[in-house]
Amino acid sequence: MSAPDAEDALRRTAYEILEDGMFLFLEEAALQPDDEAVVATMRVDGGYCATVGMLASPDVARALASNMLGIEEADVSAPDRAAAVAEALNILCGRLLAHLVGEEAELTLHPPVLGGGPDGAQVAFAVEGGQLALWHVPCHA
Amino acid sequence: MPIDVLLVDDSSVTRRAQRRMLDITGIPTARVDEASDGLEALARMRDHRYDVVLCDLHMPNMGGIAVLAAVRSDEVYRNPVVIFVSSDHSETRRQRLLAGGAAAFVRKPLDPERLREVLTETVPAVREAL
Repeated sequence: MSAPDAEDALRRTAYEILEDGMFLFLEEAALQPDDEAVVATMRVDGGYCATVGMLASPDVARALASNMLGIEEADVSAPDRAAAVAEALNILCGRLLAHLVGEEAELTLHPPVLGGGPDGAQVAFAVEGGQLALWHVPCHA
Repeated sequence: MPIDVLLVDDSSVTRRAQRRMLDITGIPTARVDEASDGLEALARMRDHRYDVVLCDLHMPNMGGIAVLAAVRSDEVYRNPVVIFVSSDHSETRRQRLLAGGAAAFVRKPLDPERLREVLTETVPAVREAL
């Protein structure tokens, strides 16, 4: 799996899940430093081993939580934002793996954990007045 | 008759979202409980008979595969309909779970229309309630 292939899969996954499924409109952009961002990572192993991560600035995390929970953005709490980013990563990761390794492999998707940082193949987007990034690091990298 | 539902997922956001989706489907519910892993789910099923369990696959402590195996091998869990709702895209695993007694396997993200469809298809009490 080359980095460009992984980036293409990340990009495709982001558009399918976030834009088509969650109505967040994405525009590719360079990732900017963001100390307030919510970051989550999750590990995959089994027939394929990798770490997949997601960063969302606070406004994007709030929009994700509002979308998932069906509540006003003003009513979204900080724990809601963190949980929404973790669950969005979980959903994205499943689709990403289908693109990367197909739908035959039985993989173990470990629960997302908060923290970590962008690494490996990555894509970043401007969205909802903030930014969102996804990355993928194969275990052998 | 309204149905009793158990939502099993380690994500609090997912459980809340599924609870909201159930409301949107218009399917009458008498009781909607939540569990954050398989162990908690089995404990709830020992105490109460649910018509349907919406269950995640990958969870800490005990995952969905072990939940299904327990439910299908021990009557103490009162034989609910088990529907998997997961981000896992493995077709091989999906087929194995269906062969093992799961009523359906739905990929996340779930939406109310799909939830209503799968509940109507798989839960006799839903068809009776509508």
